[in-house]
Amino acid sequence: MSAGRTQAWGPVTLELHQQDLHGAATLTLRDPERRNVMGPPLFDGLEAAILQLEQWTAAGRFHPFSESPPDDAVRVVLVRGEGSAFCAGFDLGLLAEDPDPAQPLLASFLRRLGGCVRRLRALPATSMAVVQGPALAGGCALAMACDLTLACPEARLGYPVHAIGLSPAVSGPVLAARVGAGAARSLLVSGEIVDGARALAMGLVHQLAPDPASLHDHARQVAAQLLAKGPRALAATRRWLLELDGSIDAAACSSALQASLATTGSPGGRSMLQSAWSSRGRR
Amino acid sequence: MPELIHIDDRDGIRTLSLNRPEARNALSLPVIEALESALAATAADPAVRVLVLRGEGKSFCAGMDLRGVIDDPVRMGTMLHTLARCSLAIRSLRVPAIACVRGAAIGGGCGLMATCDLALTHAEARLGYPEVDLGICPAVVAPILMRRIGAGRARAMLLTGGVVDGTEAHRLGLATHLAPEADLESAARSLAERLAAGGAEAIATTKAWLADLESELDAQTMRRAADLSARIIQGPEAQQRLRAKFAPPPRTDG
Repeated sequence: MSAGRTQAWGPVTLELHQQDLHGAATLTLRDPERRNVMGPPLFDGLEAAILQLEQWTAAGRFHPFSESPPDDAVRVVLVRGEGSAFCAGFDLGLLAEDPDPAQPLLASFLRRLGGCVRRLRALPATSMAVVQGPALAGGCALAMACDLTLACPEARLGYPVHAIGLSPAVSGPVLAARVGAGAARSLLVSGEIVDGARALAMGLVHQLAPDPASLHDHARQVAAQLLAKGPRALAATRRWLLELDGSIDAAACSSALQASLATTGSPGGRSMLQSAWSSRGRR
Repeated sequence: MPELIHIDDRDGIRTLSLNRPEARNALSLPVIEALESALAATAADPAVRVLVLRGEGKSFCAGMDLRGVIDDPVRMGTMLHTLARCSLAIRSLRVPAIACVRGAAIGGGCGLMATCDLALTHAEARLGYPEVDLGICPAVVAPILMRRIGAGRARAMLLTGGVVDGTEAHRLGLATHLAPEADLESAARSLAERLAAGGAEAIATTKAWLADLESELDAQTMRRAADLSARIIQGPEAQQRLRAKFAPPPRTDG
């Protein structure tokens, strides 16, 4: 990577590119041994990084319909995971240990995921997820929050959360805006995990690099192309699309979150989680 | 003066041809106004069963003709609003509309293609929305393209700009039919004949029902889109990029 300023919050780093990708930032999930699972440290890091991005992108400080972004604003954000996975979703080990049958930890994960997705999508910058391996459940939601998703055939995307007694409804609005109501329904109801090629055909992924090794360079090329577009035109177009697709409308996001929350703390919830966790190696 | 939209009627199939081949059928204000009139006449003619929209010459349409209007905000706004009304007119026709796209459909031209119910092209065609490359916001096209290929793909296509070939456009759903270039007109003709043979009332009702289901493009959204696009074109970023494209400054260095 180019010389840049990097900040770290636990398992999340944020790099501000200063040379060849000036105007871009890379958010990296860095817990590769645990496939970048989402637990409190990762959410802490993600929220801190998004807050920093809100400042770097000048969110709320210019109106893309009438003003240009400030010259020093970050305009392109790459989101990636270190190691073989993009992000394997919630930390099931931690959730399985939660002794409270009301599952308050699971509820907090859902709220924090919903918040991160909305804030990432609302940034006045074009965002791009780079998916080289599993991007599952919450990890898939994070990839779908971005404007573009680049992947390779080895990618695995899906929402296999019914196995832990949870509804993936929280991911519905953004997923439906991405792939349409029919494909979203099929993915959320079946819990099916699709590979890179199938994800491209369904519209979960927009471009496919031939292999994980070339994916990184491909992402840098796309970032460089995006940086060459008119910054104001891009910001205004994003904002208009967000308004038209309604994917982060407060009411829709809130009812989707409530639907997922309603499936936490169910009588069988904890035992499903524990059994899913103890059989994890066999899947 | 040659007509800017050529109209041909045969067996209930009305063919509207953009007729400015020397400018790759670029959409100047007179062309867009002629198209709006031709669409109004089509809507009012009960003998028409199918509309085919095509371009004379090598290209379907090179997009908005921005030469001469770059520094004329009023005329620019009129062009965008008239084009937005043309899109609404195509969507609200009772008869199916087929775009027959040879060569290229760029920007506003690709918007017309996406507005038609069906779009036929060939593998080598160049199609897309390079607006953001020029500092322009493709706001008018956005709601139409979202309904055509879905919001997620529309987002990727509009934000990354550039153009794609006919094969990729077909994969994305922007083109509904692909034919060899040499057979393009005859393929469009047989598609039109098949549609003309269908029950007119059934097709009109189906179109209206689909429009209901997808929350039809309303005039207010399209007006806002045209206003937004006009505002971004008048900003310094677009002005600078458009001038560099249409009026390259004389080179003084080697």
